[in-house]
Amino acid sequence: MSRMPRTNGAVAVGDCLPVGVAAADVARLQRAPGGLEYAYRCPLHDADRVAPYTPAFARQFLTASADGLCCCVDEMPWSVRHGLARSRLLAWLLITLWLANLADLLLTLRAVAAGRATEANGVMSYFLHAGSLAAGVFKVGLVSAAVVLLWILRRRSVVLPATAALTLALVALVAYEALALLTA
Amino acid sequence: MDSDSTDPLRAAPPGRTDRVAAGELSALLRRDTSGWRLLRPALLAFLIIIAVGAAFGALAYAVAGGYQGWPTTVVRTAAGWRISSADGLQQDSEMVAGSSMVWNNGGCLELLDLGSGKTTVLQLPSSGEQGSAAACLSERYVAWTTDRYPNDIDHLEIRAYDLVRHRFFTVPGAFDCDGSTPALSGSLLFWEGDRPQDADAKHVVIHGLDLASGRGFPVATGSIRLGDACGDLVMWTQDDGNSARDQLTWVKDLSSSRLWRLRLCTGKGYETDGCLLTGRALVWQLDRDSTVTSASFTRIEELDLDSGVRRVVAQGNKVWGLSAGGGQVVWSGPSRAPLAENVVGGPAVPLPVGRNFNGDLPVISDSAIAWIVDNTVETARLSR
Repeated sequence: MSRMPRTNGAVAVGDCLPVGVAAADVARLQRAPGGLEYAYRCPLHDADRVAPYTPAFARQFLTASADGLCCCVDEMPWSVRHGLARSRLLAWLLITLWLANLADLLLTLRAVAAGRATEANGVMSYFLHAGSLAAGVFKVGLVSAAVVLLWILRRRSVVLPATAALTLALVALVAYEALALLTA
Repeated sequence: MDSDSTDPLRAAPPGRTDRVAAGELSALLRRDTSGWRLLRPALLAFLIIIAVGAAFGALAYAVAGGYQGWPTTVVRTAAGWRISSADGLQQDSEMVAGSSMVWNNGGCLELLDLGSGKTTVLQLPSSGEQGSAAACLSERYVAWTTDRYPNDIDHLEIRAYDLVRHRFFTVPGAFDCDGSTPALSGSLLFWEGDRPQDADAKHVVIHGLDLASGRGFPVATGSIRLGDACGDLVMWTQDDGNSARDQLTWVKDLSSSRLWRLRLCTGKGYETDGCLLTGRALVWQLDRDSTVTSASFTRIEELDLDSGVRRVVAQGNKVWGLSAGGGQVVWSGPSRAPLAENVVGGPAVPLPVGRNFNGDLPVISDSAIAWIVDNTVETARLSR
């Protein structure tokens, strides 16, 4: 299958139709004897594939295209099969991780200043004694760098579950700190 | 195959270029791959992660909160307040000053405003070996020793809480504190510093610091132990031999720099057990030396520092002491009911501790007392 030319919005029905921004250069929707079908080039297998069109497959194809994953019917990952946009979820989790880290910093500063907590992390304890600004710059800087690194490595399969676990743990910590401050 | 999906294309004749049919097909694609349909799985997974995290946090708080025995419950009584917790207070070393009370609940240092009944957690139990905070209280500040870093008992510091401004702070220059209980009088804080390098093992420095002005000053050095502080007076003891009998007691008036050097244990067969400052007087308890005789006998004495008058407040084999504050000395007699007497003299009056008082001496300030009943702490106002 050759690359589909750009069409400037005017498409020839029955010849080809762009099916998504990310997939526009590698796939087209075309007529087939049984109905519609996707003709695309799988980026992972580097091979031309054809799949019958269904609404679910349309979503799986878009999801796979966005995440750079395979959407061949028998080989698609579970996230693609369930239409789970890993990049989108990862982006939300990373934003939440960054915000939860900020909340953790503010709640920790407040709790330590109020005497209701001691910093259990030896490294952070060192920076807290150097001052709130030093602790904030260190903590936010470190987590910002980690967030950027995780986003760069987002294609690796381990990144999403690791980010989910980190976010879950940090949200749990923030919930704990918020409850402690509200009720103590 | 979804038959609805094929309709627009089937409707268009093969090979015909038809912008309308193309538009319909685009609409079909937009519907099948609408933002919400693509969003839903990711949003669901995201919300589950956040909800599980929050639930874990709440569960951990419930477990940890229960284990630490707080928050405590404060209930108003006819005379003052009753403080308790669901697990029972692991309470010791309560102290009152002005309209505040501080107590140590299993290493958790808590403050009660005796006027409003509002509690404030000053310090959570340390994870290090230091365990409980050694605290002191005045009408204006609370101060306590704490680990500077978690699990690092070699580096201590003194934290303080301003009762008027409701502000926590680390006492500047107190990083050399040795972990013993500091002393407070108004805004004057005293603590034992680490011995200087290369100095004798018994060489201790007592530092003074005005928390209001930030002015620091040395008080004394030597083989000494910080005792108590009241007004402009600060008291410390000095080992002068091998027994409590050989102990010297020093009192310094910071306003006049006058210094008293006292030997409190003058009677043979006695040893000093507790020495406190209240008002301008020094009060102390002498117990019969248990190595000499098994028969118990206690004598509570008082010295007016200005006049030099020394007198016996109470004595007997069923006398227990010693507590002092607000210019009063407190002890209990054979009935175990606590009595208070002004250090300037006057009749001993019973303290309003209620019927379920179990014999532990109350702590006292000029306006309130506090005492332990089983696993609760009760307070009462004092009318002067």
